[in-house]
Amino acid sequence: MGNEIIRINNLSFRYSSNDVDVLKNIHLSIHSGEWVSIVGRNGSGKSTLGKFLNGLLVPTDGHVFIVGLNSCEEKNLLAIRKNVTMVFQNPDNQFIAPTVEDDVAFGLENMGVPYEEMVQRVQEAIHEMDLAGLEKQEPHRLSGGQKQRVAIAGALVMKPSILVFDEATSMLDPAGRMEVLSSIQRLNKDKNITLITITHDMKEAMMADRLIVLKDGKIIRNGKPQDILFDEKVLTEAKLKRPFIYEVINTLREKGIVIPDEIIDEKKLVDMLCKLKRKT
Amino acid sequence: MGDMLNNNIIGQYVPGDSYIHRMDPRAKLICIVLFMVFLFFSSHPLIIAIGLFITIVSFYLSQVPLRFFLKGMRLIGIIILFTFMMHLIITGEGSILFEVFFITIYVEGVIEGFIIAIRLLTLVTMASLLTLTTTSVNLADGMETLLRPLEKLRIPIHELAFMMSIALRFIPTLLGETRKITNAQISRGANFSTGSLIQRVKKFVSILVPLFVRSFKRAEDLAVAMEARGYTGGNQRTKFRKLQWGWIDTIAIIVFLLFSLLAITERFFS
Repeated sequence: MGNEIIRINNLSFRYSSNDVDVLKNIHLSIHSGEWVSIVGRNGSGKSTLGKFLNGLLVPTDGHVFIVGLNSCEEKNLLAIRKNVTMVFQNPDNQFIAPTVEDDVAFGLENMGVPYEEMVQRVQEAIHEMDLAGLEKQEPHRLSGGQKQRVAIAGALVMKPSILVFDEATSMLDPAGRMEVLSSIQRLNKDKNITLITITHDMKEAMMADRLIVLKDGKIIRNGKPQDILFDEKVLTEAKLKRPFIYEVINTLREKGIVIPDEIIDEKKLVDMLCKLKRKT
Repeated sequence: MGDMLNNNIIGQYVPGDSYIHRMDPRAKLICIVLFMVFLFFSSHPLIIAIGLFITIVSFYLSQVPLRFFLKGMRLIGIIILFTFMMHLIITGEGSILFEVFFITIYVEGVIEGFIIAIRLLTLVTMASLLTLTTTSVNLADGMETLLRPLEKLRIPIHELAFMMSIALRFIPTLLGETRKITNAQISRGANFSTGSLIQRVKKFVSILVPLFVRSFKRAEDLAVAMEARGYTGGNQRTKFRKLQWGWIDTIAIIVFLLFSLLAITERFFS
């Protein structure tokens, strides 16, 4: 694990002064290369927290440091947005330009990157996200999964150190979701980009190295996914549902069957159960 | 709604790789403006004939299928015919061609009608050629660069062009959404195909309101996405889309300038 790349100190936030706090005393530290998943039910403040990570919201209470830059200072914002790029939920509503390549180039245009460099970086990002051949395509001719991959390419083209996914798969069908998730996974492994995925899908959250559970604007748990999954108290408090496979493991454990901690997917569980039967 | 779009040729794009398709949108816009202005400078038959000739050559070069074009021109054809007839009937002096009942047709009326009809026909053809061979993105880019000097007058050209390109990009999305909402309302028992005109317009409100509400949500999401990607306006932006001026464009401009010059000469010096 690398250096600390995000540091949040005592962050509290409300949208208007007579409203309730959406975020309360958030302390958070994220290191470079980590994959952190922020989970919580609707209204827990997880998307609001996401918006602090690239300066879309600026703290009035507390501090947010991204790669050492204080997001309160106006002059840091552009540098922060270059370092932290975001992919949002609705594939249609974040497609700004008329064609795939134009949309991928949008962020670079904003940064004033020279034309020749822009063309090269756009090509790289398009290949990185397996979108070659779709450069001139218009958004309404793309599938949801493809549109989200365009959004990721548009984020990636900025060469960010941190990528934030704000429920980026929640509006996709299962195939599109797999398409996007496998790209995300590759980015973290191969390019060592720090990933922050905001989600309410526990199956997706399980792919992360670390889970942060939010409830009513407070962090109620921060730890390894495997530990949190079997923490009944946290799950009921945050109203989270664990994936089916963990329900099975948990029920088996309650029946007195010993299942080691490293078993976290269906195949391993089936293998283990088959061996168990052979033994008895 | 589909019919309304299909029977109107202006605003449709026919993909292709003809000389006209490859022209720089700026050159096309300049040519069209020159043509539209100077076609009305002179009603000398020679100028009108040259105008018609230019139109036919441009159409031929554009490789737009004639049948597709004629199908889209039906409605406009009726209007042109109507204008022609009006001129026949209204013109009240000159040498009489023939008389039917109480209507007298004069030779001047026929000539006048022809000139107007051909003017209209060439104008509409040229205007539709522009949109038939230019993507809306290129058109917006062309307009933006041509209008750039107006920024000195503090007219926000970049912002206007950007708004236009976003609007164009969202047309298919919103059409799709309209279809979805219509179906959703029909499945709840709404009936959009019967009733008087006023009743139908009233029923349309049940589509418009959700469409508006969702468009606002879209606009907000879009604004957040743009901000997250560092959009701060047009000041120090670079452009990914480049317009390319070629020899075809220079030739086209020269041809249309010559035509304009001819029209001016005819009008003022003969």
